[in-house]
Amino acid sequence: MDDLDKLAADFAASGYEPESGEGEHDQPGTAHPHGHEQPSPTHGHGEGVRRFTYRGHEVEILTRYEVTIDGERWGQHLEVLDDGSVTYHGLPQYAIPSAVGLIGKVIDYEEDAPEDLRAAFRAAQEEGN
Amino acid sequence: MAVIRANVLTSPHASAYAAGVLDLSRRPTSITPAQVNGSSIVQQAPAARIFGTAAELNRPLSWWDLFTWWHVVAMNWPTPGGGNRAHGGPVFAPWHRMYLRRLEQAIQSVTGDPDFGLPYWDWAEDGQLSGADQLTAPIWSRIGPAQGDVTTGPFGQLRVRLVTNPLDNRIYVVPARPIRRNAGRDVDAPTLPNRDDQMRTLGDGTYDRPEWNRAANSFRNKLEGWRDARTPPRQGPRMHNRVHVFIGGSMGPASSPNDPVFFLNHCNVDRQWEAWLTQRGRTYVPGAGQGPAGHRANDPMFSIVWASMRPSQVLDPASATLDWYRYDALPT
Repeated sequence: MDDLDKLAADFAASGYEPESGEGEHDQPGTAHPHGHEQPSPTHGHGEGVRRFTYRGHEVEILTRYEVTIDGERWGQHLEVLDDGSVTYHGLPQYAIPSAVGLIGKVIDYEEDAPEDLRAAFRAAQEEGN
Repeated sequence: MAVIRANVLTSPHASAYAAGVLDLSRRPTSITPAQVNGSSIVQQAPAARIFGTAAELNRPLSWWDLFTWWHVVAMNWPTPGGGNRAHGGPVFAPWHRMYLRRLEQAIQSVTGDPDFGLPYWDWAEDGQLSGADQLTAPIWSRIGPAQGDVTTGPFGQLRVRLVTNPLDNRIYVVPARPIRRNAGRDVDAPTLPNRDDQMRTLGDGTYDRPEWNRAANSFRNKLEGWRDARTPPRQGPRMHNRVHVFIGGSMGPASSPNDPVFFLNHCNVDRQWEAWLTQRGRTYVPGAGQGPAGHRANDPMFSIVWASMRPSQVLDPASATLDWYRYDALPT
């Protein structure tokens, strides 16, 4: 419809700028000019930190996973929640008790993907796009 | 005038939903993946970059694809504390309210029906059934088969092009293909949430609280499904998360809005938030000076194409100001 076409045209004309404007940046040092924030130290690649206070003691638990699949380093980040569950952005609704189980889910998705989809992923990777 | 959102099993708009989805999936935008890859969005959120062959990258996205990309970007745009622009923190409920309303408006536009209201799937009702009966419940007659490529039913003609690969968490543009489901086969979520899960979740009177994340003991975090509402809590996906995992297939990775059942699930999630707001008062936290940026009451929520809104603006969808929608019935 005309109104959708106009919205798309306006989005293109804006240079595909997100409509998020300026945020409420009242935490010093975290603001980004476009209203998003830098990732937390607990959300980087490779390591996760859980911090909490227990009976007046400040505790940090650093967790680092190094995963290989068929001998090749798997460069994705696993995160541990406070209850010990493990999560992964690639399957964003999973929170399960073990990294072993979660990597199994990733492999399940890969193995169970239809061949046309796997071929499309490979074609993109081979073109380097 | 505010439209009525009704149960997909009885909604007069269930057929229009399917027709609208198919229309949006066939309606090209003027936007190609190659264009958005050169945009400031991808500079700010590199995981928003779309991978594909040159031929696919230069073919325009459909409107349905654009909704999927919007969700993928939001999910891959981190906020402090471990959440992102749409999940893992307080903004989960209001961001999806805005997102669903934009789809509702798009379907109103393409169907020419200003009275169209999104249907919801009352999955807690189906969660009362046995595991085997959940796979033959009436919902599947509305959305197509529970397992395998969806090539029959109301969405049998739906074809999608943006797919997240869980192995590398990249979004790819691929030759058009059907969505896929794997319902009931995941040992971590073989059944749906039920009425007891819903009642216990609604029983939490605190919308959200520090640490404002996936560990918070709050209504939002229980509704999103990171924390079980029972005592002691059980591990594993709950509520909203559990519905994603239960369906599986296309509902698994960040490109999950490819499957129209995504919106039926989130419409029911929104209905539960609306029940909470009705019971507890139309309030939202964190406010100014609290919580992670991107999740506060007056932070702009991430949007593409349509104007952004703030959580504080979407707390009453039937208000005279918004005049968006109301539900035919709310859970108690």
